[in-house]
Amino acid sequence: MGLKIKNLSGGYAGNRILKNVSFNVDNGKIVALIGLNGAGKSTTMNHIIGELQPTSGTIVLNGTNIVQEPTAFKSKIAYIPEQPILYDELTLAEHLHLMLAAHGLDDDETWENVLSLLRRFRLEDKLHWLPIHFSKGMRQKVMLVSAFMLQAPLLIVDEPFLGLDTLAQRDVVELMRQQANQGGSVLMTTHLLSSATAFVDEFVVLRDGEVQFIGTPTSLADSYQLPLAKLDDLFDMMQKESADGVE
Amino acid sequence: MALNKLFMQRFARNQRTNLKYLRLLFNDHFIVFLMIAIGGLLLAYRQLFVTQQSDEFWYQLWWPLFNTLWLVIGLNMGHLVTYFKPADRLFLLGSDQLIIKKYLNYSVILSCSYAFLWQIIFMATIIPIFWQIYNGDMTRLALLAGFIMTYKWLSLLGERDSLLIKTRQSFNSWLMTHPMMNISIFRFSIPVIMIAMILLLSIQWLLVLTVSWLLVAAIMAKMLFISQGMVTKIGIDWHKANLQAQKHEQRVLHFYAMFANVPHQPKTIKRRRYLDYVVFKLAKHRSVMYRLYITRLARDVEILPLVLRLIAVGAIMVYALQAAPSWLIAIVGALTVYLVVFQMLPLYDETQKNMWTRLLPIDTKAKQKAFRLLSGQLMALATIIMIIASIIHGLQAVGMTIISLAVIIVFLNNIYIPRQFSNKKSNQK
Repeated sequence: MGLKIKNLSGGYAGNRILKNVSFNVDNGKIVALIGLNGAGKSTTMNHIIGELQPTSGTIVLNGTNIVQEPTAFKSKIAYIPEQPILYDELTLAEHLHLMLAAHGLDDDETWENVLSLLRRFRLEDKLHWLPIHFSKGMRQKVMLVSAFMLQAPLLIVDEPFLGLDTLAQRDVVELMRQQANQGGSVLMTTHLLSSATAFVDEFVVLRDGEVQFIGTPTSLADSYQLPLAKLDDLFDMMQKESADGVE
Repeated sequence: MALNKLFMQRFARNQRTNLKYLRLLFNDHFIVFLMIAIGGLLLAYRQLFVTQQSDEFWYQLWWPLFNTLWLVIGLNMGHLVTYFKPADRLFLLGSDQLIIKKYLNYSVILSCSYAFLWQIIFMATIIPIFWQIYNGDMTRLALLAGFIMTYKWLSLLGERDSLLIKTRQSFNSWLMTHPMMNISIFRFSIPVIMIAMILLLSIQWLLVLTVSWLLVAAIMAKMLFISQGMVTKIGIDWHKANLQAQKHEQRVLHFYAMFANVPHQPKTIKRRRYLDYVVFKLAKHRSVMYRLYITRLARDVEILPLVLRLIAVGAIMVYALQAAPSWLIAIVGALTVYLVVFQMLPLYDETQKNMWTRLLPIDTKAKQKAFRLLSGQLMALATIIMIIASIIHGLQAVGMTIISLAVIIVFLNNIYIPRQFSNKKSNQK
């Protein structure tokens, strides 16, 4: 079980970006979707969170198909976008209560866990603040708390470390690992390949809307003949290959 | 791009945007509402002059007071239009001298044109009253017009001055750090005193006042004039300039947003803690989406004040239409309820546009149901107020108001709102 994407094709307003994309995010695994800008990472994410309708293919999470049961599918995911999105009119506490209620979670049972997350991200004294008073990093932390508190079967994280201080980055990794250890699954995108090798179980390399490689960090490094610590150079090689292809 | 053409290019672009907004504004229902509202007001205004009034009526002190306040409100209309953009701070850095001499010069000319138009409109509306009180005293009228126009011109020069960094700006900085004093002195006290004196003083004293004012105005103009020599010693305070331009743009958009759904409007909110209890009570035992809508509404600076103002204006109009036929009273009541719902729709639209809403595992029907509940509650509030306001006109008017309100509520609930939902859905696709 987990997330199963099979022959997914789609894109924005008739512009076909993804071409037969297939990969799995098994329970207990952290999978990183990587690729150069325009490779189709965000498009894939947008299809998984239901923002885009696929032209063909299936997206199934623990037996629930996104097209057939969109509401049930959404109740099984927690999403952390690259750019934090909040309601300007709602306080931090109201955001959290809203999300818990929408996911049918009981406030009394979950609040202790929410408070521990708030403490972890140093937001516990900001419960009654409005987003206008938050810095960019704090807004991102609100997104992290609201996603991790759900303990949803699938956590989707778009560029998890953007705008976060090093302490928060470390906490995010710990929480993602914890989510996977408890049987959940994590799908993330990142450009920081070398750091990601420490906690990612599998990489899915996207290129021009197609899956180019699926495998462990070691096998990815091997296939490009790079040491793990130098995996960031992969993007340079991909860029060079693309340029050679154009010529 | 030549910098001296930049202002005119921005002006032209802004006119195109304004035209687009005006097209949104003058949609069918707004025209009907405007015609009825203006017609009703003109009818009531005309009634004031055709009804036989006693001699003392026009010589009561509250007429000059009303005229003074009206003209002071007018003087607060029309601000400096600069069309500055946040990126100017970076891209136009180092071109301050050219901007001050050319760009801001055009800006003052254009702002004066708009501001003078406002003053003419405000003055023209009280000329019939002026005529009744002063029996066609043209000298007083000319002095009043002269003062208002020069004061507005000087105010605009002052606004321009506040955007500049000068070596000697102690008074200006004091005003900046004391905005309330700035407003109370220059926007209220001075014009109130001057206009009241023009309206109340005898013609001999008016001559003294005119000479004094001309002297003060000349000194002020000299202080605010930017000579060729001075331009090299001053710069633009980009932070203030951008803030002023943004505020102006927001004011314009806010005006359009009163009657039309303006896209890409910058959003501001107000905490309004005093409404927390009301929100809590109303949202208790209701759905998540209802709680979301009502919280957003309670803290919104556009929709809630607008809806409340609409209900208040509608009630006043229903109440004030003394000699009007019952059907007109009923139509005004129904139109008010319609406009309340029309103004509420952006709340639904904006909430759906937020990705957080779209990620919530709540189906569209439940989202729409919660919105319909909230709009239904506001419709009920407006309906009760309209019926109460119509009681003064007798049973026939009340009966017709109730019927028209029932018809409009059925129309809104069963046709209009569902159609708006499906329109938004197809637009999102």
